[in-house]
Amino acid sequence: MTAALSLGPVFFHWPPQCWRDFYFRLAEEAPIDAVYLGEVVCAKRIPFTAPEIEAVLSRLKRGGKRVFLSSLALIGNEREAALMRDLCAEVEATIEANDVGLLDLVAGRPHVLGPFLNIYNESTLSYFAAKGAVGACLPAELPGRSLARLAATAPIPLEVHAFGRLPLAISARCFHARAQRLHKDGCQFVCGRDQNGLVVNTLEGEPFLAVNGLQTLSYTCLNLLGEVKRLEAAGISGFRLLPLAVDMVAVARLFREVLDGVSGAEEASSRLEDLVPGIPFANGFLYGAAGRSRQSALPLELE
Amino acid sequence: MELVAPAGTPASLRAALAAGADTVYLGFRDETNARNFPGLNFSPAELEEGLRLAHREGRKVYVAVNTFPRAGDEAPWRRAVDKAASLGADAVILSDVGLLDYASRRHPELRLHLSVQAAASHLDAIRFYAEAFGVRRVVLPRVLTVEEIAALNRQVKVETEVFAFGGMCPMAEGRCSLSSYVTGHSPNINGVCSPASHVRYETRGDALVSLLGGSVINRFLPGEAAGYPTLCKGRFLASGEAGYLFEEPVSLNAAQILSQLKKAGVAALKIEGRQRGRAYVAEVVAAYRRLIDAVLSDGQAPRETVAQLDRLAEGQSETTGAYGRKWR
Amino acid sequence: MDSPLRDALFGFALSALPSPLLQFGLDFAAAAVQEQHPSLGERLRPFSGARIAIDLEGVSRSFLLAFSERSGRVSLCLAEEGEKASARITGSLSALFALLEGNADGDALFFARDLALSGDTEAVVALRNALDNEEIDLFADLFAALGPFALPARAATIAFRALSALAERAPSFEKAVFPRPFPARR
Repeated sequence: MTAALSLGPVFFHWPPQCWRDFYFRLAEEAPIDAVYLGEVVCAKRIPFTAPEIEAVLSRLKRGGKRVFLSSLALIGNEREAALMRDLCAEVEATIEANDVGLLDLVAGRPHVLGPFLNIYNESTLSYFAAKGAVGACLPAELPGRSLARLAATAPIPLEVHAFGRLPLAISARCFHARAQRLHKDGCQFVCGRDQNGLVVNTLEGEPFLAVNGLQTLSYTCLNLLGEVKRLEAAGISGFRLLPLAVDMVAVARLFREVLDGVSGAEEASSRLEDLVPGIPFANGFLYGAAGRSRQSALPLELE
Repeated sequence: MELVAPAGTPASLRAALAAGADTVYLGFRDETNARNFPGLNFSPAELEEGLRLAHREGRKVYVAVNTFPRAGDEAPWRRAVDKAASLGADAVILSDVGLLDYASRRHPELRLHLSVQAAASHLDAIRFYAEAFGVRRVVLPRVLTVEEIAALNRQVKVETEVFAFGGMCPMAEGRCSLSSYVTGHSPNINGVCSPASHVRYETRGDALVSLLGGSVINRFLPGEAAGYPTLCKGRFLASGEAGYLFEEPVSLNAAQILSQLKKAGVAALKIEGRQRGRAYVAEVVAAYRRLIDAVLSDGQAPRETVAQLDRLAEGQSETTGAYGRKWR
Repeated sequence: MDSPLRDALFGFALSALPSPLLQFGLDFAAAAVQEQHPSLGERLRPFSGARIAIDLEGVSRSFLLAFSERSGRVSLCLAEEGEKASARITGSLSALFALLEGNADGDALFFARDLALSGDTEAVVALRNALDNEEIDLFADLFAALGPFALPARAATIAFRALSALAERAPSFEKAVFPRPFPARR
């Protein structure tokens, strides 16, 4: 069986209708097996998409997608912890836990270990897996060698990021608000202005990072089209595409074609470039190099 | 409140003890600890000697083994825990779930503290670590306000330790890949952030420019206080404006709010800075010793002591950081 | 700590002494420090091969600190014109003394820009951290190395101290010049 493709949660604060329409279209058109849904970055945004969740859920299910509800990546106070307890109380849903505090709440029933849990080695993975996890998405910075080691003994299916702006950091401070000289408490939801995040440049004008509310993302766009087949052979069973405000249906098709052996990685990569204009590709983490670099010189170590 | 001081070298450990630290925390000279900086840290023999010095005076030593063990190669981290246990360390400070599991089963008598690198920021997370591994103390991530810390302490059974002074991470610790994105070296994997091996200083025109992995992190005009190019404390351009987008190059200083932290039920105050020199350690620890003693006897924080701490602050300015809500 | 007279004397010696004599002095000082602080080399071993150039304000010559790969020892010599270095430290003599003896926080020196740094930052940070651990007292180390000649040298220093204290009335001067078993804390 070839590897599954999944769509990670939308990290950005898109207008609720755009958010809904984005999923409606994907539900029908994208060759995606699983969708991770929910607000991961900032609890203040939850009320915006909440009214649309039911409709999106049912549309995705009708489209044959497995749906998981993702938790916040950083739970900072009792109010947010309570929100997460409510999320885990959804008995029908399968939760993607991004904080260890949720594990006792979902223990004993199927759940997924999210990429914001620090799973760096076999001991941690098997400890978590024993609590009933049915899958894990590994942290974005893990090198290929670690991925392969984990895959070799993993008691549960493993997924890795394959496309998108990578989540690099999360804070209690809102950088989007700070860039506009605002505080988090009176943020005016300025993060909604940048559909792919706010690009941060160095003082000499080199594009460097992207901020998205409390979250800091890579400026570059991860592209593992050239590596997914080898990772699949090494035992990775799923690849996660992180939504950007681009034609994600077309992005998903390219990854599906490469995984199915219908398209070559190089050709698909040049088509991907047209879909993501102006954002350079990177794959450095996989090679144990700077995450923002694009490696072709280093050997991919999967031993 | 226990005063927990950093030591990057045996000389700093002696300086911290002489200045009145209740406890010194340190790490082995390898990638098992989150301050794996060049020329720093302890050999097992140096730890043994440090333990002897501390225990002779009734003080304590905690050993940080707080990076995340590498897949397929967890043995160095387990050996570090075994070594700390066999030498009689008063606690180990861990962050990895697999390593906590190992330590709690292999050394049931060893006191386990949860590193700030685990970023246990709320009740359910703290409860998880306490119940699963018998963790006795949690070092709280630097993202909580004093009110939130007080609320937590009313609910948790374990002790909490908070940072009182030193370099600030604006990000949730242990969940930050900024350094590895730019340099390929990460706090979680390699125990380094913005490593010196990838740092360059260059003079460009009038200005001194600091670079990390070849990218400009900051630019200083003549006479401007210069800083080390820690990525999140650099100056960047966003929305057309140049500034410290993530964090100013400031030191955390909780001197003004010690009595609030005491009221919030905090068990220990931690000084950041295993990478700083022994002169710094001696001075900060001595100042905090005076402050804590004053607060414990319900006195006022001596003003000259607070002023003294100002001089030691990074970039020569300071903040109460996330402990105040406005920081966000 | 600041000691203007010490810095002036060293500055003069480093600028004016004939090269062979100065090199003899540098060798002697490097050997004396390492004799007293054997663990210095151990901490610096991972950075062997590094060559750090040192430029001192008010001193016409440049110096080179090299970590030998073979012997694991650190040598200090006069830098040739255009000599290659992996890193460069620029600063005042007093800042450098503070760094050497660990009386000041290297980070603080740097934040205040008393020291400037270029090139291979890692080796310089390693050097700083290793020096900080050693609690070096240059004068004490030199006297120790002088062996049988230590006593007259010490007497000369005391006389010198008395003279210059009169001239300078600098309270910090005594601590800087007079050998002491432990470095004073500020």
